[in-house]
Amino acid sequence: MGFDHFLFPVSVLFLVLVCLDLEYRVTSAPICAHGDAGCHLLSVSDLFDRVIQHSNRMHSLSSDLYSEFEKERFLPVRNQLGRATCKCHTSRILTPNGKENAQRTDREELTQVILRLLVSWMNPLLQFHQSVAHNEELSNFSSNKALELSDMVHELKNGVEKVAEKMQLLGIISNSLNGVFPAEASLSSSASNEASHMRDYELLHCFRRDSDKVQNYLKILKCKIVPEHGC
Amino acid sequence: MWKKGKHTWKPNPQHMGGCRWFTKDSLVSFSKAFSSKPSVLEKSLKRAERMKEACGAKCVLFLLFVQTWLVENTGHTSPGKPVLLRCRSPEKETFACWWQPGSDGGLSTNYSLYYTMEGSREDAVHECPDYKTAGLNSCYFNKTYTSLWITYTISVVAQNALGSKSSDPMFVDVAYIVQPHKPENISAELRTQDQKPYLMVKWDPPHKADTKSGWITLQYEIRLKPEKGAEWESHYAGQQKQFNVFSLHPGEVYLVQVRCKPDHGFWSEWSSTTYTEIPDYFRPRDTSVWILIAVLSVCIFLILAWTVAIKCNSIKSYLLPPVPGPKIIGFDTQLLKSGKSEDLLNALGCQGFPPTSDCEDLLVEFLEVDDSDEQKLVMNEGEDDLEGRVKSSGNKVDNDSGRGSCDSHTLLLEVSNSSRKTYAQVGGNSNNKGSVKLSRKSSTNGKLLSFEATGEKTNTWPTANSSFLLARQSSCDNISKIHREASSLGNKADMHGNTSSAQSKSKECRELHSTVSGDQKTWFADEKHAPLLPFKSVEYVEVEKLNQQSMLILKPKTEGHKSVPPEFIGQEYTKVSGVVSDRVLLLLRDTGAQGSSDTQEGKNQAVPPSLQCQVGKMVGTFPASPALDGMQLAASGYVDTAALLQSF
Repeated sequence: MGFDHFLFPVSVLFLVLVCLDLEYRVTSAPICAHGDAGCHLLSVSDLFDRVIQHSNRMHSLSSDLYSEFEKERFLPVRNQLGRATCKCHTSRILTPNGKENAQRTDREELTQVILRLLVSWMNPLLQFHQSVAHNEELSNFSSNKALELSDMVHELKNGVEKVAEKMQLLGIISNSLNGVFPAEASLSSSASNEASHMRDYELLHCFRRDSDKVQNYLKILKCKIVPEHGC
Repeated sequence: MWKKGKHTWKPNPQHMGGCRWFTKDSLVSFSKAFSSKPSVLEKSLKRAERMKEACGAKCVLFLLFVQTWLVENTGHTSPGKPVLLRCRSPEKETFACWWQPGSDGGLSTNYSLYYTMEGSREDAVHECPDYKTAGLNSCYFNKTYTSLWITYTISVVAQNALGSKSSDPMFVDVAYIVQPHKPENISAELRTQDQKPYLMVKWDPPHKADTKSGWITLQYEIRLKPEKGAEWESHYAGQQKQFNVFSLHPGEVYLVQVRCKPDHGFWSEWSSTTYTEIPDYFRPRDTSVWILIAVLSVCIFLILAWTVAIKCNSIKSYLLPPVPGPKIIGFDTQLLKSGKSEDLLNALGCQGFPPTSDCEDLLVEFLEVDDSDEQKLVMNEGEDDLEGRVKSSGNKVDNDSGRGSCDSHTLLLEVSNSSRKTYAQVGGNSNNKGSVKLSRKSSTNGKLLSFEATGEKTNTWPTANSSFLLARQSSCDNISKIHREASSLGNKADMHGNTSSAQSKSKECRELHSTVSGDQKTWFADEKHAPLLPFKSVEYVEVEKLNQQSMLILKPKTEGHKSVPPEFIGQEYTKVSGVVSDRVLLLLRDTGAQGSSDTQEGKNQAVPPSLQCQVGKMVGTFPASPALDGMQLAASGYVDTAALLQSF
């Protein structure tokens, strides 16, 4: 009751302040109005930060879902002891599995790997969401997270594509990437067929790993291109 | 490749996405594959198998018996099952695993670690490349043997002479087992911001963790506590490498520690402690406290000053009692200014003219002169009244009553222009015209003849309408009568008046000196002043005071005579015929008789308010100094209007 009593004058005050056109309006201003080189680099760094943040979120989400599935979906076969060793549909994609290997990989290839991974997961996650939605056993939390996950992959892929374009624009990377994407699309479709046979738990296991890969590769790429900004 | 039981170990190419599960049987076979040195038991078992194949069940039993006998005699058993504790990677480039050995069974047991990697061929079992670097019961994988995002299947086999035992496998993905080393180079620096001290803690990441290339991103946590404190205070610092701590207690030594964690991994251990001492600072608090105290004291001072200013007068009167100034009892200066003589006189305690005596030592008998039947000598209850009045007025007397005014001879009676005459009616009583009632009052000190003057004339004192009472006796007989009465009062009648004129009047008064018997001294006609006086037989009575009842207390102007014949007991009235020259009261002998009496020259003077005081004085000092002015006047027998005046 006391809070309500307090709320009204506060809201009135807030309205007054807003309407008085004090410094409360949020307006957008471009970071770089003029086209200097330093400004371009700054924007790339900014783009990278956003993308990395996004991939971070995606990875933590997939980890949460995976641990939840691990509890619920433990296969009830006797004498089952440990975890499964799974084959992911993305295992065909060659990815650097160490720091040196990743640093040795050039920027274009690294970018390409990232994009490949992301593209190959778009369809499977969509199917996963559909299967989860139909499953009444799972909680709402899980189904919401699954939906969020598929959206995230899309966004992240778009973000990385934008970064790649920016880099190509600035001449940081060569323009040899353009031909990759259509081919990847066809590959991913076949892979996604295979993925449809996977069970949810296994799918999440694979996806968690791949999202970690993406996050790592993006960080390495950023510190290679713009090392002075927070590396 | 392995066919044991129902399980197929060969990967099925059509089942790419599938997962293989480990079961007990498969693990036994798995571990069997790892053991490089079969134990004695195993050997015997093998032999038993061969023998079983060769000779059947009996042989098997025999062999088993032998085996058991061997074990019981020696007391050794196969080793206990080891347990893999954990595997950790400090920088996501290498990792190490530790195990705990089981019982060794009394025999020397050695441990070996075997692992397989996901994605490689299932039969590719590898043994630990390095048992030393990470310590006892450990296995260290360097960079070449470490692959990220690949699941390792690791197990430890314990083996002694009698047998071997393998542990449960552990599945390891190196990317998720990262536990960095402690942060390094922790420095705590004391700084101030806006006079507030804070501790700026800086550190470096562990030197092995490669944060520069973005391979690892670390988050930090800092904790600190006072040296004598019990609990740590933790702060999450994010990915920055410095942190500011604000809530510090001065004069204490603080312990600071930092630890770190990768995005998904384990917290490192707390770093080594850094000791920082916070010096004693009191300035910020000190300043504010002093400012507060100053403000409060200023406020208190202002309040006190204001209070003092308000109560200034009362404080002054309390501390320094005022010195009383001159003041006439009952005399209101305001009334004087307003010009209302009546009110003034009333305030003074006089009812009409002339004022009565305030002196406490004065008990005066009224002498009332009345020559009609109605007249009588009335022993004035005014005696009591006078006493009462004296007393009452005495009560009013404060120390600063204007006695000084008594000394001034400015008792002035103004003659009205209309020259209305007040009559001292002897024997008659015409109140309307301001009859004067001579009444005798007994006094302890002296005798006074008081005139009671009623009428408006007396009340208009001291205005122009104030009138003289001129007691004049056309004949000495009357006067002497009066004088008789007057002298009967007591010892004497004091006469007072102006010094010079009083003396002259005294001589004039001799004229009025009557033939009153006795040593009265009432009025005496003065031969000297004959030209002024149409009648020689004029006797003068000096009015001493006006009592409360508008009664004139007359004093006969006798010289040397001090006594008033006591046979004057009656009340006689003398009619005042007129007032002459502002100073002389003409008294008539009888009611209707016209006459003039001697007047005395006088001057108009302001009337001092207390004739009675003066009279009192005169009376008081009478025995001491017989030759006062008043006395001389008394001898002359004149009515000294000056004295009359002076009474006021």
